[in-house]
Amino acid sequence: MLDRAVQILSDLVDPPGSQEIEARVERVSRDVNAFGYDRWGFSPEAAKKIVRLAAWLYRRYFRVQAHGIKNVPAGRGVLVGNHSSQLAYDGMLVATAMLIDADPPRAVRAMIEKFFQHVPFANVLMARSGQLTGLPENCRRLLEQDELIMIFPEGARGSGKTYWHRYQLERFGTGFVRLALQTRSPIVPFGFIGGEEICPSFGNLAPLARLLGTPYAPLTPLLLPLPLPAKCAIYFGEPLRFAGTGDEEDHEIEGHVAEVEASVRRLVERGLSERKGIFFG
Amino acid sequence: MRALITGVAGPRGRALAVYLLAQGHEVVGVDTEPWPDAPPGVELHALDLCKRGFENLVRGCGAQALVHLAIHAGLRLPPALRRQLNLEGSQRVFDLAARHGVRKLVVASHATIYGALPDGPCFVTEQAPPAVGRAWPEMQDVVAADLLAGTAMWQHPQMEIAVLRPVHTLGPSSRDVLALVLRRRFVPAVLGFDPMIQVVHQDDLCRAYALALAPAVRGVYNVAGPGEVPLSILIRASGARRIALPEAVIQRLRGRFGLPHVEPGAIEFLKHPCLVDGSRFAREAGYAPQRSLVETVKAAGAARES
Repeated sequence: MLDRAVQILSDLVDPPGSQEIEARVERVSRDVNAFGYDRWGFSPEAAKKIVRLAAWLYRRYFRVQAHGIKNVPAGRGVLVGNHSSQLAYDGMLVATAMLIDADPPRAVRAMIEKFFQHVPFANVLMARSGQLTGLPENCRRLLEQDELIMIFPEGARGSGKTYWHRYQLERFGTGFVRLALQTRSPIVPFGFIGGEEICPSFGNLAPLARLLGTPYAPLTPLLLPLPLPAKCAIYFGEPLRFAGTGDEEDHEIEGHVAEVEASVRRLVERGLSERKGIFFG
Repeated sequence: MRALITGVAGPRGRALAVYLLAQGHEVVGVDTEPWPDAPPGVELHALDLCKRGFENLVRGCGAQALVHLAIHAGLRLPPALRRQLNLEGSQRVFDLAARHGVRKLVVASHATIYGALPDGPCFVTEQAPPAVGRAWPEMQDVVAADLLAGTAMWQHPQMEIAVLRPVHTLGPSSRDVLALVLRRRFVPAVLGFDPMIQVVHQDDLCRAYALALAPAVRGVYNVAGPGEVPLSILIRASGARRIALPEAVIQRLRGRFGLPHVEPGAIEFLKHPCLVDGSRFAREAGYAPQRSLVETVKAAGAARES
C-alpha cells in the first residue's frame, strides 16, 4: 500500500536523471538474495522508488548543496552531524547526498530512533531503504562489513528542539566514539543547514506525545510535521581518527566526543555564515 | 554409535532416525505417539518421558548419545501438558542421561526464544538474553528448557552438551509453528509490517542435529538457514492468501473466522524480526545449509501440494 503510494509519488515527480539514480542504487546494493532483499531487509527495487522521490526533494524542493563530500573516505565510516527538522528530513537528505552526489555513490545506513519500529508502514519503508534501529550491535556489525553509517548523537534531543534553540547543539551521546574505536572506523563530522527551518517547532505538546507514545509532539506551522521548502546545505568535514580500543574511561571518551562536537559546531557556524537566505539564495 | 532420540515419531525425529541409520548408527526411539511405518532398524519404545519406563530404558539401552527433540515450541499441545513436558520432561532427560553414561547430549531448542523485539538488535548471537517472554510469557517454558540444558553443562561436565536454536523450519513434514501457519488458506499479516524471517529446510535441520553429535561440538548454537526473506514473500510462496489487518483487529479476531488461535504475544512475530547469527555453528560444527534460499522458501508450499 505504502509501496504503491511511493511509486505514484515518484512517478509524479520523476526527477531528471532517474535512470542514473537507479543505476547508482544498483551499484551500492550488496549481497541481495534471489528474492531481491539483503539480509537486513533492504530492497534495491523499493529503494529506487524511494530514492527517486528523495532525489526530487533533494534537488528541486530543498535545493541541497553538498560541500566537501570528498572528505567521506572509502570503506567503513561513521557520519556524525547536528540533528534537526523534527522528522528525519536531515538524515534522509544526507543519505541522498551520498547516493546521488558522491562519486562513487555510497549507501548510508542511518541509525534511526527505536520508536519508528512501532509505526506501521514507516518501519517497512525504513527497512527497505536500508535504515536500521540505532543499536550498538547493529552499528558494529555494519561497520565490520565496511558500511557507512550515520549517527545523530543528539538523538531526539536534537531533532525535537524548538525553533528558539535552532543550531544549538544538544548534549552528544558517547556511544558512537566507542563504536568507532572498537571497529577502527573514521568519524566524518557534518553540519546540516536548513533543517531547523524545514520544520520549525514552536513548542512540544508533551501530553500529546505521551498519548501517541512518541518521543515528542512538535507544534509546527503546518500542524503536521510536513516540510517547508527551506534551502539546505550540508558541510562535510575532514575525517577524525582516534586511537584506542573503545574500553577507555569515560573522561577519555568524552574528550574525543568534545572534539567531534567542536568540528560539527564549526561546520554549522561556517554554513550559517555562508547562507544568504532561508528559502532562497 | 548408539543414539537415543526423544520425540522420535515427530517429523524431525523420524528424519533424524532415518539419517543416522543410513550413516550406520544404531537408533533407539522414544515417543508417546506411534510411528507405524518406522524402519526396522529403529528400536521403538512407546514411553512417557516423565514415567519410570523411560528411566529403565535409559539405564539399560546403553546409548552413548541422546538427542532430546521432545521440547515443544509450537501451539499444538495444551499449555499445561507442554509446560510439564518442557520443564519436568527435559530436566529428567538431562539427569538420566548424565547418570547412565550418555556422553553426548543434543538439545533441540528454538531461535524464537530470543523474541521478536521492536528494539532488539538484528542477528543476535548466542549471548543475547532469551527475551521472548517479554511480550509472550506463555513461551517461558521453552526458554526454561533451553536454560536447563545450559545449567546441565556445568552440572555434568563429563557429558558433552550441544543446544541448538534453529530458525523456523520449512518442508513438507515440518510442524514448526511458522510452517503450520503457512499451510492455512488465509494467513494473517499485520497491516504496515513485514518483518524479515529466517528459514531453514527440514533436511538441513536434520543434518544440523547429526553434525551436533560429532565430538567437540559443545555449547549453545544458533542454527540459521540459507538466508532471510520478508514474511510476505513466504506467504506468497506457500500459496496462502495474505490477509493484512490492523493489529487491533487481529487481536480481536484470534481464533475466529478461520484465523488461528494464537496467544497475543505471538503477533509480535508478525511485526518484528527475530534474526540470529548462525556463524558459530557454521565455524565449530562445519555446518552449511545445502538447500538454497529459493528451495527453502518454496518448501513453504510443499505440504500443501503433497
